[in-house]
Amino acid sequence: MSIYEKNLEVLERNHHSLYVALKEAEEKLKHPRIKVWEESALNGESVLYIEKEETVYRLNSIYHPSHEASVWSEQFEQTSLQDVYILFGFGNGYSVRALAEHIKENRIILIYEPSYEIFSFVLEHYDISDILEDPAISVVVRDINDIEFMNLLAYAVPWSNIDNQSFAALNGYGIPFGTEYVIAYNHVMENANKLITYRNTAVLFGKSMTFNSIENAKYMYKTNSLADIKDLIPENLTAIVVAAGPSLDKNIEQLKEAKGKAMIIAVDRALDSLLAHDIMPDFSVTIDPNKPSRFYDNPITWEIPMFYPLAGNRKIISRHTGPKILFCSHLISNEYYKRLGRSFIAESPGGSVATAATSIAMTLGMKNIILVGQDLAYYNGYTHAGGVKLPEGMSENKLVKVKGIHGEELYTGWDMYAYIIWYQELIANNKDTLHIIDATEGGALIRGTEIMDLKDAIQEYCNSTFDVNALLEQCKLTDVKERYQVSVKLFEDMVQELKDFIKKSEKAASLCNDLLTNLITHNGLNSKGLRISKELSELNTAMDRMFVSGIIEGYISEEGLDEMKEVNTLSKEEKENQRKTFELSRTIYEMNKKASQEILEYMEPFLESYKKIES
Amino acid sequence: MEARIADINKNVEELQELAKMFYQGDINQGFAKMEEATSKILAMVDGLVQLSTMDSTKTALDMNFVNAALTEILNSYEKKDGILIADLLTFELLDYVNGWIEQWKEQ
Repeated sequence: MSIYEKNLEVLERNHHSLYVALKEAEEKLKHPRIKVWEESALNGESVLYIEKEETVYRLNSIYHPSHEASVWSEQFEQTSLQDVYILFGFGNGYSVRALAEHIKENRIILIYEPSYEIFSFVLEHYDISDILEDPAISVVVRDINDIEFMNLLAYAVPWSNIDNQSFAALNGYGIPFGTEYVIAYNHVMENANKLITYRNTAVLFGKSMTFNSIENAKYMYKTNSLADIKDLIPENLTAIVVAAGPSLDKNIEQLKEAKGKAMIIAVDRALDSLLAHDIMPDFSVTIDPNKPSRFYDNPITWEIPMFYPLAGNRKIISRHTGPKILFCSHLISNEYYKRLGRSFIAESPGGSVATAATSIAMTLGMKNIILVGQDLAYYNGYTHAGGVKLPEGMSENKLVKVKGIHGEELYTGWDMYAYIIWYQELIANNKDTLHIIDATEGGALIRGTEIMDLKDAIQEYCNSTFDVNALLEQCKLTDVKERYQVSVKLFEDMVQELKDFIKKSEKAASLCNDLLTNLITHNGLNSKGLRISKELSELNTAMDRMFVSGIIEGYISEEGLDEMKEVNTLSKEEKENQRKTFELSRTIYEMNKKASQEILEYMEPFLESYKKIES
Repeated sequence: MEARIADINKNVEELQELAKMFYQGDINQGFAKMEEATSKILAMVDGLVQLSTMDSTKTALDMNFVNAALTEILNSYEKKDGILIADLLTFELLDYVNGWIEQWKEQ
């Protein structure tokens, strides 16, 4: 078996999508833009050379490549329970191997190789099967499978790990691949910004989301889910997602032409503008837990069929009297549908109400989605339709510069920038099943969309017949009583679990105290300490398995997320790490106990009142 | 004599740090320290020459070798090839200096 065959065999087994992408790119690989070759170093090892744009670059030491790689890898230190090393360049494997050996455990190595010519050459000439066998190493090659880079980053660097990522270029890569380096670095920054946006949402809304979810759960037994209506949607029906960006004022009147020919889904903020133009959307969408209820002040909006998530603003949802359709995964609704034996389609709503509306349309199987009023950028100082302006005091350095649909430079906020990325990823990941038409007629460019005027988009894509009332009539629930009983039992179990969780948290905090005493008294854990540690670990596993643990985790995210980040950080002293871990664990168990008590205080009267519905 | 050897060793260590800087990709910082490094190399060579002339019975310093290594380092500096500077320091100049001092002390 040749080196190439050996490498390919491991690649196929462990990095299947890269393997497939390389196979698909075989034709491209036959026409390299960069010349790659190897020469012998003075110690007999191999030195990689490339020629790019008539300049020759050497990628290794000519004396001792593995020594160079070893010294290079020493700059990295293990600082956490899961360090992430994002490397720019694969080279001939010396540096990657040195790093993998230098930091053997609790690490993820994510490699962005900017040249498929180099990677292809290395596959043929170097045995890199040991690197490809390592389950904690992922490889992305530009123009081959780089579409996966953002997904891999999102997987490798969650919020709790954001401080434990390192980005470094292999020696020799900086000059020949300067542009590609900036692209890869920007991806890393995009991921970090996305995490910060999502984290801030969780911090802001942790508690209200929990109480909203409990309160809104009382409508579950009489509302449909996306699964109920999915199969009833006419084939080839187009969805129009109406967001409330400043450009909506330009083409809102056109939407009248689409009524009855497409499914018009309006975000909550766009309702007033639509109603002011006598346009009745087929559905409204709300998602934010603390969305101002003034968007639903007009009683007409209460009757418009609404897509709602369990964690949505409970004031808005309680006021709404029209048909409701539940969307967005939530622990309570997931458990309810599981017990009911019905399917619940969980879609990924993104971070805004417009991305949620897009996601709903996609989940309902609609291939063509037209975006209207989705500027995702500021327009002459305006943020939304109806003359809503940029908040005073917002300076340009808090904004991001993006390209507009006409190639112009526009400013946007970090949150909206994250939504642009969300759309782009959605489009890239669903090339065959999704076609998004940006008919905003302004705003930021979303790569992968077809840009059209709304008038033309309606003419081309809105040729079906759609009657929302007929659709909802077809999916009226016939088993409301059974659904109600299942929900009562679920809420009773939640109350019981919360009581149990309080006791377990109390016990776990007390075990942490015992462990701290044992650690300090014996200058390390003795056999009794190890027994306590085992008991704590079993208790922790039992708590993790409880249904309410996820609800409690969401509730404490305000304080808890930063504590989690602390737990992830290691010092050089093992004993110091143990002490820190026990102290932080104790804090988290105490927070768990407090959170369970607060949720229970809300849940008990809720259950009493819910039980009265039957009578 | 001990003080002179200690000075040479200190320069060797600092030049090893410079090589490490280049190997670890800190190229800009490495080049920023090159002028200072050149003075250290010259001071180190000066110290070696003085040691060498103190006792003519011991192994003589191969000045041709040292000059050739120095020339190569300066050429690499001109070409902005940080990895080659690190290589020349590690595997030529400092390797030779360390070996020569060990031999000199043993004799």
